[in-house]
Amino acid sequence: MTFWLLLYGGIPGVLAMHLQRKETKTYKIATPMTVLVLAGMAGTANMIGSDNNVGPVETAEALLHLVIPTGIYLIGSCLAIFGGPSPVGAIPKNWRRGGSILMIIAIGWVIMLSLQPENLPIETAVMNNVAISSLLIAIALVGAVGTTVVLSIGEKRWLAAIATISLSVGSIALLAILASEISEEIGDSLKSIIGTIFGIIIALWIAFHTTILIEKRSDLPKTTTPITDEEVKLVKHHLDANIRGDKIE
Amino acid sequence: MSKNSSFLSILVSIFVVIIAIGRIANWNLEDIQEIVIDILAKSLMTMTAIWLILATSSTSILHRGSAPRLQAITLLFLSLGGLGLVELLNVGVQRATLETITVQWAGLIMGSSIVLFTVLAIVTGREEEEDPLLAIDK
Repeated sequence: MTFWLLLYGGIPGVLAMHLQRKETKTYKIATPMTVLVLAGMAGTANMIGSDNNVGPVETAEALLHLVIPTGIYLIGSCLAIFGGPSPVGAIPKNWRRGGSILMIIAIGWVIMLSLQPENLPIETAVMNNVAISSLLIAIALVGAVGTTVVLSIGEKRWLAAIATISLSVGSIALLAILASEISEEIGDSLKSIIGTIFGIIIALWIAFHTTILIEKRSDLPKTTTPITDEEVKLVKHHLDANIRGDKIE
Repeated sequence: MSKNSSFLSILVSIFVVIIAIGRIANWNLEDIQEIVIDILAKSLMTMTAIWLILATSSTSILHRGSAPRLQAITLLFLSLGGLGLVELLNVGVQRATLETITVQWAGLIMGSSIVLFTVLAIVTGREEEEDPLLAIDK
């Protein structure tokens, strides 16, 4: 439990500390706190496979297996987005085709990871079934929503609609092929994703309204003192000099 | 398309995909109570994690007075309440649950980003116009 508290509580906390202004005390203790949190995570992540054969290390392994194809896909799509005739930043000119090839390689990797993970150059992760089922369900759901949104906008973006519906249908087809082996993981991932979507909406709604309720009833921070007579005189003097053209004494 | 009909179409598409994947996962109407409780438990876990993340990350605004402190404490209590509600549902948070849901959240984020970047790549990739300032060199 300590590991997960540090992951979901400690990491956002120290990241926020690093965002403080440099002169604050919180910023000064940010780096030692980060070291402490990371050390705590390293110290509590040693329970490899002690419970149901999964632990933090197996989770990290599954995440790494997901990051490889997703990372390749995102790099490819960034090249396809920004590598046109007028490239952005350091991206070379006319790299759209290279980006598209990377995207296709990543899709191939995901298909291999789903159907024949043992044939990939890296060892199959212990939690591969959970990782791949949740990835495919997310693509299927968001792809279907994306298609509806693209068609609703109505600017005849047929190619985008075809791509999103293909991703969605392709993912459902892969899940159907895998159903005989991992139907339990698919069901569990589907429940988690539905629950997560509801959870995010309700949690943010409650947090937003709690913030409004607290901020409404609190006093405004005293950051400034009321303007003095001398300051009024000075402002008037500057206005006279700059707007009316009076000479400054 | 009007806003209402767009929203309705999005809901319909979500339901169609959920029903299709539910059929693949062999969901039955007899197990509906168990499925709903599981979904409820997962959404409570998500809420707990989000409130915990918001509470701990609000340290960046603590210098603004007492309101953010109260806010952070409230969110921490909400987070604890979420954990309590999960226990009330008789599901409980076990170690294997946390590992599995972490991987599932990562899968959700990565799957969503794949679809989003596909749309962006296709929509922007069709525009082949060249920056007139860069074309001056030719």
